[in-house]
Amino acid sequence: MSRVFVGLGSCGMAAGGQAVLDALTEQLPALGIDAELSITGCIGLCYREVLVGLESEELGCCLYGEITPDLLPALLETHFIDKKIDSRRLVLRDWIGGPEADVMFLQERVALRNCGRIDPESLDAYLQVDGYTALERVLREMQPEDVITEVKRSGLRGRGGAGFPTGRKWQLARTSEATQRVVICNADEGDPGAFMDRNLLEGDPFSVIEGMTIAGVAIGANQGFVYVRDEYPLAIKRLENAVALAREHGMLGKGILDSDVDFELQLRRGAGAFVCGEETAMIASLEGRRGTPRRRPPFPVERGLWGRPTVINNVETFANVSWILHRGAASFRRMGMDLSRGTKVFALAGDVKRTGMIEAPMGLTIGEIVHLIGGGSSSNRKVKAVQIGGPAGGCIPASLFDLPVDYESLQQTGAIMGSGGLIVLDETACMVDIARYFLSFTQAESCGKCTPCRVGTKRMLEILDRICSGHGREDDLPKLEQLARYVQQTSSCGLGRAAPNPVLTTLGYFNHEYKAHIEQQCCPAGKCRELIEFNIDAYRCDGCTLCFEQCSVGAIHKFGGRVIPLRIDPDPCTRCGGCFKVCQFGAVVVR
Amino acid sequence: MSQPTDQQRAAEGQQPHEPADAVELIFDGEPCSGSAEQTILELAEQRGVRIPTLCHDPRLSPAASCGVCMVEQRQGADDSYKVPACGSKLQQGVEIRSASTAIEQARRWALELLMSDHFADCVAPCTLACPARVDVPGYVKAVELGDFAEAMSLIRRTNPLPGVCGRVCPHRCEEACRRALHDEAVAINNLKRLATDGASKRPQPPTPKPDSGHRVAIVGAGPAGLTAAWFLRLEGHEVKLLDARAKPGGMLRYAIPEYRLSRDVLDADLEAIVGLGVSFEPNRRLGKDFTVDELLDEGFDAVFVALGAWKGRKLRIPNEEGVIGSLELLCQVNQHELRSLEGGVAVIGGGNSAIDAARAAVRLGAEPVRILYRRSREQMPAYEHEIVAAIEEGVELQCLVSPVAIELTEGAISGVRLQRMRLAEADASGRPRPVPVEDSEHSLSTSMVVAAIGEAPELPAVEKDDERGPINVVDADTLSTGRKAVFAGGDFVTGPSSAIEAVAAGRRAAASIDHFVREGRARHIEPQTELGSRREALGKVHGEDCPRGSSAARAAMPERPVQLRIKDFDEGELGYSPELGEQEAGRCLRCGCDAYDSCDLRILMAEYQVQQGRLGGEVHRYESGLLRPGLHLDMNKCIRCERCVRMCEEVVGPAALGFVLRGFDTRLYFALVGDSEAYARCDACLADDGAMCTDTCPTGALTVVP
Repeated sequence: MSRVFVGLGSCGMAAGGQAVLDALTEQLPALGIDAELSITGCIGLCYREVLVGLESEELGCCLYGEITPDLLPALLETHFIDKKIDSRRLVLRDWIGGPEADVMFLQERVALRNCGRIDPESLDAYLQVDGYTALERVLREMQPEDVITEVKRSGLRGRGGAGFPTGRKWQLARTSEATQRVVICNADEGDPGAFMDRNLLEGDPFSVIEGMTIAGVAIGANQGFVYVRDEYPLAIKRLENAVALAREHGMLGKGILDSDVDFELQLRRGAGAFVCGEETAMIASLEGRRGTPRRRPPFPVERGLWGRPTVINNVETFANVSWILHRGAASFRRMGMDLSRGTKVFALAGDVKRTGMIEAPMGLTIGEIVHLIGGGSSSNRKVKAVQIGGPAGGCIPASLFDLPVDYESLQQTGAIMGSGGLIVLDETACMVDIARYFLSFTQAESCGKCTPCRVGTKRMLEILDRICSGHGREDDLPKLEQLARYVQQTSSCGLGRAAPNPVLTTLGYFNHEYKAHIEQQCCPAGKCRELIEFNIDAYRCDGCTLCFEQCSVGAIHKFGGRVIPLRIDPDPCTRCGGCFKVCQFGAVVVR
Repeated sequence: MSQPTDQQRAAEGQQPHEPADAVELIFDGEPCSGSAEQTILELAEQRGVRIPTLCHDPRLSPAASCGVCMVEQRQGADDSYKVPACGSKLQQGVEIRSASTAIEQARRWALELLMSDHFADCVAPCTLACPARVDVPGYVKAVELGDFAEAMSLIRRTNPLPGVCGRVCPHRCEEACRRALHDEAVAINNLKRLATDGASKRPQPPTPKPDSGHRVAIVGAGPAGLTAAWFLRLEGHEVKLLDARAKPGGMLRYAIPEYRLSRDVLDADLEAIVGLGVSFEPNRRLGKDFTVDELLDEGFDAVFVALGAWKGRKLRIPNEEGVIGSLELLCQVNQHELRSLEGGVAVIGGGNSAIDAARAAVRLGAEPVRILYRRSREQMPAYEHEIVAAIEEGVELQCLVSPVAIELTEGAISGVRLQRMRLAEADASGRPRPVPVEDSEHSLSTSMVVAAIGEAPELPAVEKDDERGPINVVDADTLSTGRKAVFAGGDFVTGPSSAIEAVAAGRRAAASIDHFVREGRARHIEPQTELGSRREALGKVHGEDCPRGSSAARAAMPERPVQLRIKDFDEGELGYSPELGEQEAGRCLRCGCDAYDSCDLRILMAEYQVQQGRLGGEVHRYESGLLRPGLHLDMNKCIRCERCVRMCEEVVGPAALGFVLRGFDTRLYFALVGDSEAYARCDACLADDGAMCTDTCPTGALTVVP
């Protein structure tokens, strides 16, 4: 039986996937092709969306990229009728071959095992890929303690970023004296540039639900919540659908899978406060209170939601759980190294060729992820650093790219594993500006409860603003560092404690850039608007006037075929960099 | 968002612990035991160790939000990390330190961050501008309520010469008054005068403390000496005042003309001081009748030297012998030795002393009376209102002239030879330098020339060049001199200044001497940071930052008509009526903070020497107002400690208070809408003796108002 599927994660939708799906609905019968049409989530190659998979007995599964409705007739005809592969559009063949095979070569797909491959809205599709065999096994063959032992043996650690051993967390919840316990799935993903949880929920919601149910059985909880941010409408829709289907088929509710175990699951939508991803703030929010963290201990596993022992795990962690209980802890342990086992999903973004979602075994180096999986710099400029771990993470310079990606190694650099944001920065990135960007995020998302975070991050940001605008003072760097360390050491929760990380890592690895801003009023990367000027190099300029077309404020004047004056008028110029980006001759220079 | 790392988790208190009752740990180097349910703060209190905190209230669950109670904790050989003492339970086997440089720094950071967004005044700018730190808003309010005795008592707390200062004070307080941001400064000085004049009977002075057994001698019974005597006597010390003249008062009695300061008022102030049991010895001149060493030999534990500055400067021009110094003239007038003058009088100089001499001369019948000043009117150091009054009374002001010689006719003064001046670039004093205009000499006929070009202190010869150290050079903070047990202050040290500066010096000396005789060590009365939060430290204050209230304009001071007042030495200004005073006092914006004495933030700010403006950055400027009838919130003073919120929710019940907005913009809000039952509970709490929320507020943010 032939199969046709369209990648309809948020990325596929944004690229026009719905129109492609509509066109397919029309054209498949029109062309007389007998194929089952379905959707899938995102496979991770976001840079090639819209992705369409054509599966037939003769050719296997071919994934084609950058498909628009008008390309479909020819593509369908070539593939299904001529039975040939359209090599111009081919992305992957049988998931591991084809032009983009490099992307997949180093990846290991555990959490993302089904993403982009099965229909996330169909329970049958999930069952076909051995979905719920793990839960079956747990309910029929195992005692709750065995489940916890299995998870412990796998070496799984929390994928939300902190890396607390999952099995140990469950154990603590199970051994606490209480009649009622709770499982919460943390889907309040809020890091700028991160979309791992969203993709998972959009692409394979059942694996998360199954993982949560297993956790419920293991710790003796019969109530679960998914706290998902409201900005993820598609994820919410697919999750709601999956919960309804699972309940309908006896996988949630009373006596799941005909056992005597009850487990009920509910969705709670977060209103967009970043700090509600912090577990105690999330509990406050779930209880209907202002979403602010409280001091631990007691930890949620002792006293959590409504005072009940509560296990809070991240989306990716739960997706791993259902894999581990199906394939066994040993299979999981084979991947990764030392204390970091299994894989980690990353959202690759920034100045890298292949932006998208990847899943790498722990222990791959940063360089391997950036250059081999990511394909290296997207420009012809050198990669300078990666920002890893989002606003709580840090910047790691290219000189440390041989470092393996595992919890402990990353922590030593001052960054953290985090939830999986990985932004590649080339030479045009100003590290002071990057630190300012991430700090402006955490500062705006501070809940306002404790002094170090509420006022400290604000004062840090003001110093960074000052430095970026060329008004930095001599004592700003020591003051910034002292304040950053203070905020790191004394803030109440993880948000405040981690907020200085982007600042401290850049201060450590790129101190010269800070100094250049302060001492020479110069931004070496040519980014900080108050400190730069754009000029046109007359010898390189071809007179194409593209920059003139690009400039929206009239700072570049055209006369005849040439662009004059050679110096861009600095007064109207807003330093947007549009001319710089658009110039194909490298004639626009930053000073 | 991401979960915290292991390291952060460790910093928050290790892994979830097994519940256990008794725990053994080390606190400040000493092994001790406690309960696992106890917090570090509770243990510290139990052991008598003070850990500062702002957000903690034992009645409430901990918020651990202010960051002030940080202590260091360490488990085994691991690095130590900081934890809030109020929110951290005791853990088995940990080592806790409650004091270290790092802890002090962390606490200072918390306070500094709080102060960097604390757009509020601990003390009103008028009080800060007053050298004697008189509680201006306090007594102005008392005057408004008609409670003049209370007003005077408030003034006396830092200034024992309320009557005098109500008349002759240069009132720098008015220069600082924020009412001027709307229209004109409050007439503070006139209100102070009303405070002393308005009472039918002066309030009893405070009672001195029991006899301390210490004796202090004060040389010079001017405002500095009198003030020191007052405060030292109140501390229970035996005080002896010695003065070279027949009556106490110094310059107040001998230099200031009676039309500016009625002697009845002066005597009333002096009576109160002497009435405390200060002994006064007249006609005893230092250097002639006794020396400082003799006083110490007599058994005085300390000596305060406040001789004043009496020596008039010379003109240093030919034929100067017949010229009289302004101070000499005023002394004669004030002692009624000189009762009338004939002919013209030329006063040389532009200061207050010149004005006093000229106006006195007018009253003695001299005609014409001229003031000759070498710069222009703008540079005159005399008070503007005094200059205006002098001109009103017929004094002729000649500026940009300088005397070059006195002209004599048959040995008597017949005139003064003058030279015109013009202004050149500024000199060291910042004022334009007068330079002679060539060929501009001319004569002015006059029968008397008064030199009013300043006075200087004069140290008696016997006290000079003493190898044990000079007694006229002092430490500005403690007023201690080079000689042990000898202190000095007032004009004697600073050169001629105002009465209020002398009062301030006297008070400072008293505090320092009091500490010296008790503890053997001099002390600074008022370290800079003790003055607390100041709006100006965070930015310019605008009119909209302090709502105007009363729309009344500044009330003018009623005066006697010029024609009458130049005929005698009775007071020219008549003082406000109580009605006018009430109206004028109503113009006060009530800057400063009512919670000054109880505010924990202010106390800690001083203790940790926090510099408020050091960090700079954005500052919130909130409008203060009622949260609900009876409950006033000044959000500028709120430190988001959440005590009121927790109190209302956990103890009282209605949960009427909450926070809105996030992060830096987080602010307090009254959250009860349409819940009549909860509102009734809020009412009931408010109706008690002060609401629970205001009771727990560590600053002056939340207050009950009628």
